[in-house]
Amino acid sequence: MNTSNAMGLDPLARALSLAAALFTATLVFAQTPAPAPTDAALEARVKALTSELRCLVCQNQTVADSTSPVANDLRDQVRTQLAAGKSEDEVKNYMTDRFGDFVLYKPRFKATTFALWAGPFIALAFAGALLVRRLRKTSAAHQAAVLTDVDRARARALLQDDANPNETKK
Amino acid sequence: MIPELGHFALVLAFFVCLASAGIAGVANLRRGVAMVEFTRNATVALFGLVLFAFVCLMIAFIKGDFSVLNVATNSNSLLPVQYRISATWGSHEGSMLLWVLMMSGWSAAVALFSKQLPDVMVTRVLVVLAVITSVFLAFTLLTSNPFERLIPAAQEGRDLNPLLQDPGMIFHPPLLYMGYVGMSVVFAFAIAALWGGKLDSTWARWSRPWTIAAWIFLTVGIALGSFWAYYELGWGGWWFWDPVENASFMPWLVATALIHSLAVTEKRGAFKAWTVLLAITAFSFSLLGTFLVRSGVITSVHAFATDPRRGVFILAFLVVIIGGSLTLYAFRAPKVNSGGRFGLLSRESFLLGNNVLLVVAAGTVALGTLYPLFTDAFGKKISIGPPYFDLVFSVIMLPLVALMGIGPLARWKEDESQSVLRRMLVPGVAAVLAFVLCATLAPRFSAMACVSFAFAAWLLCGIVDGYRDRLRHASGLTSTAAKWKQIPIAYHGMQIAHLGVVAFILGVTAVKSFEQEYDIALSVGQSKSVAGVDIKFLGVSDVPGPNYNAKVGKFSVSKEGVELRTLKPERRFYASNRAMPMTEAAIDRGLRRDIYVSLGDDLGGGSWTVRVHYKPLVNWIWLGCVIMALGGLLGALDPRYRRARQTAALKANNVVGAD
Repeated sequence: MNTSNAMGLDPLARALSLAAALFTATLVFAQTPAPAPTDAALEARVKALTSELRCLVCQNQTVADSTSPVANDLRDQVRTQLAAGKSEDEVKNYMTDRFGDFVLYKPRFKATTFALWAGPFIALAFAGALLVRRLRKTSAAHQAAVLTDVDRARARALLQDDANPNETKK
Repeated sequence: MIPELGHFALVLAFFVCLASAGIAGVANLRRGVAMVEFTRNATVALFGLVLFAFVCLMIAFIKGDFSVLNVATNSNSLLPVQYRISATWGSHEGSMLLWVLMMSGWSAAVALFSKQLPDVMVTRVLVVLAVITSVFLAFTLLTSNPFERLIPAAQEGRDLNPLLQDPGMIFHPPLLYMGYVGMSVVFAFAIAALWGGKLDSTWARWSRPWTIAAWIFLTVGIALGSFWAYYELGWGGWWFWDPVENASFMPWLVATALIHSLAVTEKRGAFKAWTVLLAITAFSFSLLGTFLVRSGVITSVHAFATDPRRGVFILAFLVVIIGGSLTLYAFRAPKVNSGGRFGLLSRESFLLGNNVLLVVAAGTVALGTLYPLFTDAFGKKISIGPPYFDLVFSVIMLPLVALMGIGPLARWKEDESQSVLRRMLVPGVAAVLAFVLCATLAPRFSAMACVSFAFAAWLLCGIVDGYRDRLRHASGLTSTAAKWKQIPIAYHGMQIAHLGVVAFILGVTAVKSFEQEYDIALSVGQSKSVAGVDIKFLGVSDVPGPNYNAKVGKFSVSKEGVELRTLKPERRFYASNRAMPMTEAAIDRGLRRDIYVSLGDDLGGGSWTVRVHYKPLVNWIWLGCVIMALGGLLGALDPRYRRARQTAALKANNVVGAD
């Protein structure tokens, strides 16, 4: 019974890994660089980048969203620099050199933000491992608890003799 | 005089609360007596007193009594009456009073609608609730008295923050607080169960409707807040991962996990200890949120350090509640029979997976919200915003949606992998199809959009499959109508709630991937064409409001020469705060898309900066939330389920009586 079960799980596992592979593939695909910049493409880049920058004079608002004069200036700054051929990272460096890490809504991956970036995934892996262990245990117990005719007879006897309900097995 | 009456009522409420918790609590602990009538009456009296205090504060606001500090800081003689009413909870002090009102309201509801529960259970639940209420009453009275006098009285009030002068303010906070505070009922049921050492499926059955009720309020409250932010803030965003938003989202995530876990505990007797832990966690997150929002720690760790009274109070309570309940849990939980065996491939396993993902998601939100506070404490300021949360959160949510599609199709206890695979076939094909359709038909290719649409199709197909399965397996019935009638309402509730998730995913994805935004300068007579619609600027006029002057722009929206409607975005200059004009966006709403226009600055010479957004399917986001809440409502109202509750209660009464 156990082996048939393991065999049965195989196609499921294969389907899941295929789905995972497809998913990863699309993510990689999404990272292919944009075509030669036209005006619209530049605007899209400006929009994307300013969506990651904090408007420092506003209350929790991105530079892209804000209409404050400071944000307008920063947007123009980003546009000029990108148009001049600077990369996104270079513009971000320019910003952090002036305003510190506070300006980035998406903190960089470094020692001080290691827990921030790794935390959710470590938690997910840990919880997942715990879950699988727990499920294995429960399912082993379940396999062991599959009722035989003898068990059934015993259960019936116990149910009739309900003097000590705490000891009845569920 | 009226504020003093209110203050007095609040003090009295505190002592009633203390007496109720103390007397009934000790009586139960020492002698095992259930003083149920006493606690019931005390709880209703408590609610009456807090309501009285609340009405007193409201009267002070409506009358514009500027000799009350709270009124003088948060109201103004020009403020329209509906906003004077909502200003009652517009300040920190008022929010706390609203919190206590909701808390005592929930307690009174438990006192009144728990006739079928055993006396000892009701007593314990009410005692736990009274303890929590008394702490919050003490907090309000000692650190945030809403009735504090201002002598001499101010001539004029400073006014309610103009951002809050909106119908959203009337409904959003009460609904959100209902949900937020409702977690305390869930918590009280869990603690009462641990107290008695009896964790069983009857306990799950009793706390389930309360959990769902609180969850419904939380869902609607959060959605309304998002809807409000969308039109009020003027830049078209609907969720900002702002700490204040996160504060309500964390309990929502855990409550969602809890609803699912309670279902398993109720139906299969499994996950008992885990369910209790979730109930404790849900309330802890709701307290953590209160701490974040109410202590001022969010604006800056240093602001918190300069006036730490409020923060320290809540933090201490947070530590006591979490520490105390976890200790109780540690003592009691190992004795709980884990019960309910199930196979590796079963609906139980899928639901456990759901729980793990939701809890990790809540933990992630907590991490992202608290992390800047930690680094700030070490002298390094960083920001964590939408780009971080969007990325990490979607990685956790996609597997959850995948589970959501197959979980309801799997059998309880044990399923065959072949049959699960077979059921995954149709949703799987639908998902691939949706991906391909999105990749070929969408205005521009977006991998994220196609993946999301694929998941939505998967989920939708799973829902349809679930119904087909139900109809096929309804035994002994021939007509489809009869089979349909046999499906329990709670099942419809689940499927409708999941359908809400589909609508939500579609809305979020469409907006995120295909929205268009234009920041442009328009002169009178010029127009801008967006997504097949022409928006023509007709000019700006001055329109006075009750406590502001507005510049009202006029735009005609037309499609292929046919005028659809006129949009009138405003820029309001409030008398109390002329320096900070408020933008009031004008929106042409529709199921397919919103056209969102907000008026910017006057550039001179009849030219204005204008922001135009095209937001495809944006209303599906909130529609999805409303559908989820409706599903919850059906789940809570299942009559079959209420009958079961009554018979279970009868049985439990007998058992407790025999103890």
